[in-house]
Order: sequence, then structure tokens, then C-alpha cells
Amino acid sequence: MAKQKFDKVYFLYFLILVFFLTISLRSYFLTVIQGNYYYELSTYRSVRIMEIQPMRGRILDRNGVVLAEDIPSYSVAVIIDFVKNPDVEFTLLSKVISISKDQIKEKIKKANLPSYEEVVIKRNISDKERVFIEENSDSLPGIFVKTDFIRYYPFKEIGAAFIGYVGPVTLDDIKTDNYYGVNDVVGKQGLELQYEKYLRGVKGKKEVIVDASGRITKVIFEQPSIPGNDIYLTIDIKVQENLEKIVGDRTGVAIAIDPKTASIIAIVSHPTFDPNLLVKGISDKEYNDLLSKNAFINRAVQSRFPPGSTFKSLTLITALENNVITENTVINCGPYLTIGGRNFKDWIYPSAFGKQTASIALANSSDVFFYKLGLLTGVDRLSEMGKTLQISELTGIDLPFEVKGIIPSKEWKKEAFNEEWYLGDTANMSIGQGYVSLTPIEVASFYQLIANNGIGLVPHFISKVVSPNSKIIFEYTPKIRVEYKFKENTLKVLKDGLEGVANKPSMSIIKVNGMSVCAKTGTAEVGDKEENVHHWLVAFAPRDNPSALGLLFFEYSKFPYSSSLAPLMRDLLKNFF
Amino acid sequence: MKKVPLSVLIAIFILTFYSLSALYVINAEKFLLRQIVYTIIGIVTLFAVSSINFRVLRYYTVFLYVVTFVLLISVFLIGVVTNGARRWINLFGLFSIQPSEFAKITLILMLAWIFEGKYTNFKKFMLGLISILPFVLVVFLQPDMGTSLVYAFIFFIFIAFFLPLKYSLSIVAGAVAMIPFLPKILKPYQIARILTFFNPYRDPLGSGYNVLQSVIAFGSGRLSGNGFQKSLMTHLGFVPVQYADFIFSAIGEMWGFVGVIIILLSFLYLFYFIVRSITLTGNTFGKGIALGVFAMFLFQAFVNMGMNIGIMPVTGVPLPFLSFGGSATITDLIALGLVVSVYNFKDELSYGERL
Repeated sequence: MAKQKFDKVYFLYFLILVFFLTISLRSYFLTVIQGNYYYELSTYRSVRIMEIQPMRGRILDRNGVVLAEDIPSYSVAVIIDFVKNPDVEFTLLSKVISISKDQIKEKIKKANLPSYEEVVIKRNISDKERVFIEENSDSLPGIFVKTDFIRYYPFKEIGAAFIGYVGPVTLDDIKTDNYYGVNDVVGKQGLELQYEKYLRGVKGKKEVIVDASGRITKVIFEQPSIPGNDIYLTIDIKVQENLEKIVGDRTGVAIAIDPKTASIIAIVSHPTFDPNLLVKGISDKEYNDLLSKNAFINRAVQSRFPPGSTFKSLTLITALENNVITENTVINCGPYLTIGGRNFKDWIYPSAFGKQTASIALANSSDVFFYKLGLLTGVDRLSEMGKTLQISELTGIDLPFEVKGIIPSKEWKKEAFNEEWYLGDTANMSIGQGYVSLTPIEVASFYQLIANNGIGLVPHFISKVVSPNSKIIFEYTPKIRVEYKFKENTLKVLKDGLEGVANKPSMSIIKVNGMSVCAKTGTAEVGDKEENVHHWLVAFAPRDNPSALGLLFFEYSKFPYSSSLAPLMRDLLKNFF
Repeated sequence: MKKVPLSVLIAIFILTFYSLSALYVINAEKFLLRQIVYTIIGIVTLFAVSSINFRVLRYYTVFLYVVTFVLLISVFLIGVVTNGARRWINLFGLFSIQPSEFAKITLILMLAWIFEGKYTNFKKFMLGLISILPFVLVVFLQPDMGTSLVYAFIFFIFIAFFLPLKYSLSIVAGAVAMIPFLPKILKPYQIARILTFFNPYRDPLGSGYNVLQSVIAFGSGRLSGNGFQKSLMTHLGFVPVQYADFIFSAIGEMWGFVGVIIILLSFLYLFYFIVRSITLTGNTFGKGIALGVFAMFLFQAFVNMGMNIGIMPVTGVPLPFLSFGGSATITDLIALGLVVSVYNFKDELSYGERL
């Protein structure tokens, strides 16, 4: 009996030993062996470095009218570490922000951030949503209302095609530029993208201590953000509004440029979109609707079209510069020209223009004349001149995603279609049909070069960049892209022809204040149906020392003739005078 | 009047110091003064109890047992619900008491009294079982699984110590056989806690949250702790109910491994003192009292510390002398007072003593 009890006391000592060894060894492991790891974890949880988003720079027109600016807005964000009961909290949150619990979880998952970082769930919440979240903050630990900015475009659709819009960064943005974090916005299109680096500013930093609910208890260190720079454009928003009205509901482009500097005064591409919708969040239906209308494509720089008769100026220039004809050469033109057994009709067919000099033929826009001229000149010299004047090259306009036009050559056709070049191709090319295609901004740049007597400038929007403390940090000076010395008579013949266009009775309405206007119409056939045409009208004025250049383009035009655009062009040019 | 041994008092003061230091950082305004008051009341009680000859308590054991049981039942009728459990009764609108804490002492006295009796081993076992079962059930239904486990463990130690080996072995076997039925008995949150114990990363936001936060806070103290100023997890309230169940994690963060070892050594000394009292007294009632207190402290310390450092499931057992709480603190000091009484009066006979 006594011996047994003696043993059992040792059993009690044994229990004490187990207790001591288990707890002390495990404590040793956690504190001494893994202590640094846990210490780091604990600081992650309580010390947080927060980014302070800078206010994005504004975009303003030439008169200082604001086209894009940041305005205060509230977002709701989540820090997972501080969320006590995700299901309960997210269900409560989803009741007021109309994003389901699962969508919230999905967003957090997609953000793929450490659990101590904040994830923005919804931007630009309403006052009602904000008040609800703030009033229920005790039931929503880890869920916060953040004050930040939202981009606002006061003119909505007006100018959207070149202003562009901002949107959430993509993973690629984050990978390529370590400025960005997952909750940032970045320029997606237009000038917002082009001048992102000027506009975005410098982020600030705040080191804070937070409590277990993630609420800030103390700010250790704060480095304020620096707002982005303001971008002043050459755009005049009033002119822009007028041009939008001119284009109306039609699908098309309107461009107004100062030919001396290639400053863009206005540029319309319709249909377009309201950038505010994209910033605030757009429904899938609305988005797809806009997508199907190609509303996100700036037709002026991102789409190629056959330039039609506006291209005849190049045929004429090439012939004159290569001494194929002179200003006095007369060519007799019938109603059509047979090439390789096919009849190439003049637009006036079955009538005919008869004997014409080059400038008269340009004024008449005689197709037969230019077929003959093109055949005399040859495809090689035409495409060579196209290259020299950089007509189908990128204009270098300060917009992203510009596309290049096409001026074909024998080699080009061989490469593209593995086919020989036919004389019929030359004929089509001479009048701006067939394989030729140019963007509206390329056509406008071509006429800018003509208007400016051989000096082609880079079309541009930017005029200056002004820092938040009102210092001019960049001022645009015109950049020459082509400098070509024409022979003495070439420009005279060409401008006589272009002025002749404007002097036609059907066109003369274009002559604002009775001044001399140079213009060229174009009707580009598309596809097989004769009624499917694009209409062009490009004009500059006055003839000598021009100060205005306009271009109108309508895709699948509903107008009867290209000359029907004359009254619209008059309205466009009026903005300059 | 008998003295409380100085070494015991030193151990109590060390533990109280660590408790108060942690409560100071956790929320001084809310907990510090109250815990000081509880400790003072507790220590006065400790002195009082330790100067009573424990033998006298035999005559009050059944009375205390009945009173405690009535209090436990009354919790269901007039109890206050906190954190989803009904554990407290409010006395005169002044303060709340937690009868399930005081019941530990009653139960220890009851078991000591039964095992001192001249019954057969089997009868001792049955009487013990009958006396603890109502307590275990009532407390389990509050629900307070932790405390009911404390009762069960005290009983188990009595059996292991006083009865032949076959009793304890069959209880262990029976407990193992019970495991498949656990999902039917336990509440969903209790099952979740047990599953989480086996894999705390199973649900880091849900039931694993407490343990992960606790382990991080504990480990972040490293060798010598982060002190009063820099114990951020504790200071900023990252560990839930840190003032009570998770105070050990605060001590880890504030005092590091060194502090933990000092606390363990203090406990080690108290356990040694209790086992010494068991061996020194020839009186079975005294042995039983000391043994029960030993079981209670050891179980609570092991389970509580274990859950703070992630090697035990979360069961809501307070850490003796360290966790905040009036009923628990006073109960712990009364219990220790009983052991001191056993130690002090080991050689004295009271009236009618049977040798």
C-alpha cells in the first residue's frame, strides 16, 4: 500500500515535468527560434505604410477651360487582416453597396495582395453608402471608407475621342512600371494615356500604427503626395463643340488644324463615348453597345480609308515634279479609258471633260485625266513621292495607337498578295482607290504640307505642361516632319486646281467672307455596291498664307455628293475667322 | 495564526506582477484597478483560509456542495449572457460572480471527503461520479466546455491517485471510445475549435484567427520581450479576449522567453509545494484537497498556455493567477489557501480526528 502511494506521487512529479517541458520547449521554439519571423509578422499587422494618392493633373484647352480633372470621391476598401467575420461583414456590406458577398470575395482574391494590404471594393460610393459604412464601422472591422479622387470630364462625350479616359491598372502596368499599385488608376486611352507620366504626379507615403480593427491610432511619418502636372492643349473646346454639332449623329471625322503650326484646334470622331461612364463603371450592355459601334476607336488616327480624289493631289505633284507634264500640257479626256480590256469610267460618264490642263482637271476632279496622268507617271514614281512626302507614314500625332496608311508599290503588292502589278492598279491608285488607304489625320497632314508650301509639321494637341506650382515645365515648339522643296510651278498648278474646286458653283458656299479657299473633295467607293461610299472634303484658307485647315470625312456617307459637305466645311472654317 | 510560507507568497507576487503588467498594456483603464482589487481580496482570503484547520471543512462540505449547485442552477434562471454563454449571476447589482469557478473548490472538498470515507474502491468511484456529474452537465450546458473539463480532470486525478490502476485505465479507454460521438454532443463552434486546433490555417479568418494572432503575439516577444511601449499586438488589441484566455500571449510579447520561463518556474514551485503538502500530510482529506487543487491548477495552466502557443484547442479555461477575472482569481487564491492550510495543519488533530 505504502509503496504504491509512493509511486503515485512520482506520477504527479512526472505530470509537472511533462507540463514544464512541453510549454517551455514550445515557447523556446516560438520566441527564440522563430521569434524574428513572428516579430516581423506582428509589425506587418500593426505598422502599415499607406500610399497617399496624388491628385492627377488636369487637362485644359487653349483658353484654360478644364476638360478633365480629379474631384473628391469616396471608395470602400477592405483589409482582410482586420476583418473579423468575413461572411457576416460582407453580407452586411453587400446590402448597401449592391455588390454580392461572393463578388467581394472574388475581388479580394483577384487583387492577390497580402492580407494586410487594402483592396478597393467599390469606387465612387454614394453619400448614402458612405454614411452607412461609417455608422456601422463597429460591425464592419477591416472595412473602411477611403477619401480619394475620381476623374471627371465636364464635357462628357465632347472631345472624348482624344481626351481618352482613365481606368484601373492592369497586372501588366504593375509589372512594367513599379510606380503602380493594385488600387491605382492609369490613363487608358487618348491624351490621358499619352501624357500619363506628366499627369499622374508623385505618390505620398504615410506610416501609421493601426489597431486590431485597422483604424489608425497614430501617424509615425507622413510624406505628402505631389499632384500631377496640368496639360494645356491647343484644342479650343468651343470649336470642338461646333465641330461635334457639324458631324452630328453621322459616323465620321472632323478635324480643324492651324496649318502654320499643325496645332489641332478640334478633332471629332463619331460615334464616341462618355468617359465619365467608364470611370464610374459601365454596365456590360452599355459597354458592348459602344464596342459594336466602334465608339472607342478614334477614326481620325486609328482607321484607314481609301482617300478617293483627295489623293489626286499626290498624282499631280508626282507628275509635275518628275516633268511628266507641265502646267500647260493639255490632255484630251473621253468618258472612259480602256486599260487591259477594262473600261475605267470618269465620274461624269457618259459625258466627258474633253481637253483639260492639269489645274482644270483637278478642279473638275476628272478621273480619266488622272488615270492617264498616273499611267504616264508610273506606280514607281507615285509611291516614291508618297514616301518622300511621308503621306502614309505615322504623323507622330500625340495620341496612342496611331495606325499607318498604305500607298502601294509593285513590291508591296508582291508581298501582300503575291501578284504582279497591273496597269489597272496604277489607274485606281492615281485617283485614290484600289489599294490606297489613309487615315484622316494623314490626309489632313498631307494638305497641311501643301498649305505650308512643302513643310509638313507634326500634328499635335499639347501646348504646354504646367506644374502644380505654376511653373511651365514643357512648352511645345512645332516639329517639322517633312521638308520638301517643290519646283516653282508645282504648288501654283496644284493650288489653282484646289481653288478651282472651291470656285465651282456647287462648292462656292465654302468661301467664308469671300476669301480664296483651296479645297478637295473625295468620294471613295467601298465594296461592290455603288451607293456605298465615304465622302471627304479637305480645305484650307486663305490660299496664300493659310491660317485654317479643315477636314470632314463621313463613313458610308448619306450625302448625295461630296460637294454636299461644302456648307459643313464653311461652318468649320468659320471658326477660324 | 499560521503563516503563509514566504516562498509561496513570492510566487504569487511574481505571477500577479506579470498579470498586472499585461493588463496595463491591454487596457489599463478597464482592467488594472479591478484586478488589483480582486487580488487584494484574494490574498486576504488566502490568509484567512490558510489559518483555518482544513479538517473543519468536512462538516461544511455537503452544505457547500448543495449551495453551489443551487447557484449553478440559478445561473440558468437569472444569469447574465456574455459572449454567447450564460455563466454569471449578478449580485445586488454590484458585481457578477461566476459560480462555476467557486464550484471547483466545492467539488474538490466533496471528492476529498468521499475518498476519505471508508467505502470500497468501487463505491468511492460511484459516489465521486454521482457528485461531479451534475456539475459537469450543468456547466457544460452554459455552455462552458473548458470548466466542465476541469471538473472531469480533477475527478480523474482522484481516481488515478487513490484507486487502483484499472479504474483510470478504463476511464481512458472509455474516453477514447467516446470520440466518434463527439460531433453529436458538441456545439458547432466547439467542433470548429477542435478542427482548427489540428490545423489553424484551415480557416485563418474564422476560428483559427484567435490562435494565429495569439501565436504571432507570443512569438514576437523573442528572447527578452518587447516591453511596455513596443508590444504592439497587445497594445492595439490584435488578440481577442487577451485579458482573459489569451493573457499568456501578451506576456510572451511583453516579456519574451525570459518572462515565460520565470512564470513557468513560479508555477513549478507552486506545484512542488502542493505535492509536498500531499506527501507531508497523513490525512486523506488533506491529501485529497491538495491533490484536487493540484489537478485544477495543472490542467488549467497546461490547457491555457497550450492554446496560447497553438498546441491545445481553444477551450476557454483561465490561466491561474494570471487571467483577468474576480471569481477566478479569488477561487485560485482560496484553493491555494486550502493547500497552505493542509501544509500548516498537517500534524495537528482537530476534534474527532480519525488517524
